[in-house]
Amino acid sequence: MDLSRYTALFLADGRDHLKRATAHLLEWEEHPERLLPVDGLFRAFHSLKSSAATMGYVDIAALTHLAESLLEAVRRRELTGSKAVVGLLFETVDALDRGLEPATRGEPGPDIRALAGALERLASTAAPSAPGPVVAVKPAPAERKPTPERTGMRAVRVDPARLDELLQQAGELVVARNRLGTVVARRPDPELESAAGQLDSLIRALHGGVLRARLAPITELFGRFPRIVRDLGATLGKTARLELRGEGIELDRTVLEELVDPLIHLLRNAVDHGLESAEERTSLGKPAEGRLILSAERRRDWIAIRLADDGRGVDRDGVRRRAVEYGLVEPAGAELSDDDLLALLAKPSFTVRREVTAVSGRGVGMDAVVSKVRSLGGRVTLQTTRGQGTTFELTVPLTTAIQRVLLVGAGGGRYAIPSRLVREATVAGRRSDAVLETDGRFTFQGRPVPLVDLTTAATGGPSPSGRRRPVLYLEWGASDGALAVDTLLGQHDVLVERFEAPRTLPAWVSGATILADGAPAFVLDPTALF
Amino acid sequence: MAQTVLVCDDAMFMRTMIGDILTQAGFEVVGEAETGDQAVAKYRQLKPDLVTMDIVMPSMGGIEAVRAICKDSPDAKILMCSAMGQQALVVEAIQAGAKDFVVKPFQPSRVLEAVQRLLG
Repeated sequence: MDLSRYTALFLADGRDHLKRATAHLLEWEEHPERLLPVDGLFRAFHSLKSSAATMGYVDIAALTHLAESLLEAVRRRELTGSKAVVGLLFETVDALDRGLEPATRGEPGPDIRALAGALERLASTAAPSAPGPVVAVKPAPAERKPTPERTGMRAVRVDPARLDELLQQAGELVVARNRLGTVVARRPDPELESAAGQLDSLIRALHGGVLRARLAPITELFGRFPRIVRDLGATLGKTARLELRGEGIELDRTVLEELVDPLIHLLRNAVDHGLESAEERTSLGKPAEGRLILSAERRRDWIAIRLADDGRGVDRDGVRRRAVEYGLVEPAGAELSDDDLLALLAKPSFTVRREVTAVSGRGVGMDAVVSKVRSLGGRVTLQTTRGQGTTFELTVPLTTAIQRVLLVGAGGGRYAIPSRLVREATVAGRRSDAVLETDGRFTFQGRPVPLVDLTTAATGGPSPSGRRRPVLYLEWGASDGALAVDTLLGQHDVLVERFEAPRTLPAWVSGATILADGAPAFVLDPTALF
Repeated sequence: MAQTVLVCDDAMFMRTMIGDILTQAGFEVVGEAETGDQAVAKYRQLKPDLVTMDIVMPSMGGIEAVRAICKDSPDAKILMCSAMGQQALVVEAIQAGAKDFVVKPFQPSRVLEAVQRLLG
């Protein structure tokens, strides 16, 4: 069997497992008494072991197997989540991370003998526990007495799934209201209009209320970060302190969970690349202890999360030199702006460092941060001053339940495209910098851009010929593409129902929605078309 | 009509590969599940001719899923996919109602052999 076509999938899947493993390790490090992260860790190593063994990557299979054995001992309560165990597993994750890519290229990865030996030795210290009563488990924090003096009200615990259900229904109401609105507009009747208007404001209030019920304090997200920063500092021989601000801010639970990985990555980056060593800082007249400030601020329906460090700032010239080496910028161009810097740093596998440290510098990550925030409909900006520090700002919507889409017509049907992907909507031929050739080649702002004709994709039939057609210029992650359609129908806020698409539907249909006139429309994931 | 398969594994890599092996052999993969819960729900919904089931999955493992499926459908044809070192679990799965097993890493021929034996 030809395995080569599975390497990309193996790599993506493998990185995903390792990312989850890291998150579980961090949780376990903080709560050594919990067994849930141990299960998660076990599964992550286990899945990677299976894939690696299938691909014939012996070293990765061997390391994951040893990690699994160590975790088995923990599950049998013969070992605890001691510093030694957690530390060694962190090292294992790093070694695996370094080994994934070389393995897929058939090259030797890092030498794992020492690490494998250490894992085996540690597993062999596991003492079979005497049978007896199960260790008393610390009561979950939720069991603690409510603290009325802090919140001034009683709290009830509700399964988040029920809140999701409520929100779903409130969202359906919003859509039904839109539909009623279009009917009322066609039949002018003051009484009907007033009743519909009242219904309208009630539904808005209900929807807002359900959204608020799903909000969780951002402290849930921030709480574990000071510890991570301290540990990172210790690993890298730096002293670093994290200050938290805006902890009273609340954010949709789903968005909150999605932000954990990106923020941990930025924190790691800040401590590793951003902050100077204590000696260097002292010689520069800065306090020896590096300072990071993580803050959150609400701006209408958006939350802005900023991470500022008082380190050395991004090395603009260094990035430029590397970018020239990679062939990403012209050697004789203007100075890089903050936006240019971020765009370069977010390119997959772009790294300024030549050596890789235990913490970062492998050129993975910044692209993941940007694409994760984008997938939430948000954006990332960067501000940096040489010698003074760097600030990243992540702006994310308060909730992702209702999405803004661009509605287009193609082949007689209507399709919704998430607005966050649409960089520009234009009519080819009307502008000199958007040129559609009769053979389907498309040039946008002087660059050839891959173009897919939605009419052809949707109907399988021929596309309406002609060089004057509406075209959407799309951007996602570091990729782009253009989508030719028949008509542009405007922006709408819709409630997207994600569904398991039946096999008869193409892969680029990611969900469905009911439009204001009551007709259904497919929501597209146009990235699956390219 | 092609025989239908439900592929249950928490790793996308494994689902893709098993799906490819079976599709190339003329089966139709009608569904995929990432957790035991999903496996049970999708089995009820899709009634596939065959299920491939990983043992280690989040929120209800493969063995419990086998038990739940076989409770309603004792004739369900479930092929366990286990990694090395899980022999004890394989025995448990067979007792729970699984009909056969293959050990990862897979040899495609071994997977198809087991499948044909099951459906034979």
